[in-house]
Amino acid sequence: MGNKKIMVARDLYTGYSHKQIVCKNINAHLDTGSLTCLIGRNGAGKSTLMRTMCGFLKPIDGDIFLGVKRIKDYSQNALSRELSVVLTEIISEINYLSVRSVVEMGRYPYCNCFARLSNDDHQKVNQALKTVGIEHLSGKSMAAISDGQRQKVMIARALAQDTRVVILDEPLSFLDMPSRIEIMSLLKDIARSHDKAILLSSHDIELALHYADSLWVIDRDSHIYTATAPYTDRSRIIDDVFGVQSESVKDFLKL
Amino acid sequence: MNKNSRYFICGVGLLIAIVVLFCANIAMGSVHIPISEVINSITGSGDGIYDIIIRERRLPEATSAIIAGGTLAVCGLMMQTLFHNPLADPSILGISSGSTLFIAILTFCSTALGIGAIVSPLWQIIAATAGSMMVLLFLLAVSRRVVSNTSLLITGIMTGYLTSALVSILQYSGSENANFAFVIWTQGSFSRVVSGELFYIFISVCIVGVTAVFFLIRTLNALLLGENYARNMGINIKRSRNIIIILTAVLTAAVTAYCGPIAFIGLAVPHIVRYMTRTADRRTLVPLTALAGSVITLLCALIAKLEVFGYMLPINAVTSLIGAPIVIAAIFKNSSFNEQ
Repeated sequence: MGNKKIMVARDLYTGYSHKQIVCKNINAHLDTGSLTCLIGRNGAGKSTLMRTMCGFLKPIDGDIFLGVKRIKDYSQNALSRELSVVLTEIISEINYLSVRSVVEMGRYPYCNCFARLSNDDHQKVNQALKTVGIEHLSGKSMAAISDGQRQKVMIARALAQDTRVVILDEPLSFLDMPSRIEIMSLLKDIARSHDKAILLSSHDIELALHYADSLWVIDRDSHIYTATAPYTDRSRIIDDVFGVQSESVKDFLKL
Repeated sequence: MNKNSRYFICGVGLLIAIVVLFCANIAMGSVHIPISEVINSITGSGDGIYDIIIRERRLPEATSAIIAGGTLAVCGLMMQTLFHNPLADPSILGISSGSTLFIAILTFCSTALGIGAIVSPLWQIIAATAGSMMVLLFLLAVSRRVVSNTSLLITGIMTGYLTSALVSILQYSGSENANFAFVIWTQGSFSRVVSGELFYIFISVCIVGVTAVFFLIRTLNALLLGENYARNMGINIKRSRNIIIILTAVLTAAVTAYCGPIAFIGLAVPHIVRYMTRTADRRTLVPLTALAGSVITLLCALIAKLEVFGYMLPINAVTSLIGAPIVIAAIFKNSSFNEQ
């Protein structure tokens, strides 16, 4: 155990082409056993960076290392054993799947093409359901559970994938306050107990400041810097993220 | 009841239905054959005129229906999965339109040249296959360039429109005889090629192809969560997409070449099975869809030759007449489930 750098972004440029660069010169890292939160305003480039970290988008320049290798040097299958994701995209047909079969998909990187799970795989699925606390939902259809429970299912799926890094894109959106708090503390527990490096993006700055072990902050000019808990200068972080609108936010948070 | 045992019972039920409908298809027709003769013939101890009718015509026809139905249904399921579109079916790629175009060219040109009479099933099969393979090559070329599945889907649909425009030009300028022959082809039939090596080629292509779909179950399931999730489950999206397209194209091409463009089965059967089992899990749906496709196609083939209006009906009319109400009923019955 202990925190060690597992994923490192070095001189990273994100975007869609050399003409459409979103964030420049990012230097940041993820530690095992810790929860990292990427915060920034809507449209600041959170999603682009998250998609690049997941390997869905190619870096425009610079590198992302996972362990000792660049993520672009991993095969699709090898990467899926190191890094799992929770995304915002929802396909309606997921409604016809049971909670368990969605979590079972976390084992697909280890399965043969028929998607038959071994006993060991089933055990990992059970463990993931238990860690997230949704064993009782196992047989339910995805259509019959709440948004918060859905998010937990997707987290359980990522856990079943048994990777060192978990990346979650906006896992708190569409959730009510109690569910957000529940998800954040769950993620923090998982990072600690499973020694995982967890990165999530959110615009919920209050929760991020409260729970995250470190922050990746995207400021008004789309520059990214990192901060580590405890955050002594909360008001500066809020200024950086929200700019001229930050006064109202600070007022609300009583800072 | 345990879900898995429910699926198992569904499977067994469908298998029994296949056997019953298979025998009924052999027994019924313009000549009614006693069921004992049917069983004798199938077990190899039949003789006489009945045995000849069964061996030469009824058995291959019913086998064609089983194979074509199962194949099209599985292709429909693959297309609906790949495109995340419940309205997708095997024809959505424009594959069968390619076959139809080439059959139209063959029919109208040969009639115009006065050699229409010598157009054999072999020529039709060659033309239909060539047409669908041309469309497939075009689609693969497009697939290399476009990233999104939606663009590919639209390209497929547009190819369909293009070919049907060309077909209507041919029909408009063609003779009455040629038009009649062409329309008959588009109605579909399971009795075109009933014996010989050609028949065995059709059967083997379909069986090998449908078996291959079972090797794609993990990919198809992963695609249910969307492409990014699938990628994160170790699926190579581009390669999988090409494999799914090639497989669907070859299977659709085979069925269309031998039976004509059979409508509706590929679209409807996956829905019927989904409503029956209430799952989207491809580990369950792929085998059950194959079986249900065979059952429904056998049922349609049977109704087509019952001569309800005093004459045999075209198979394509029956598949839609029977299938559409089933799908609508299933949707109504499950509307509360469907809306969620």
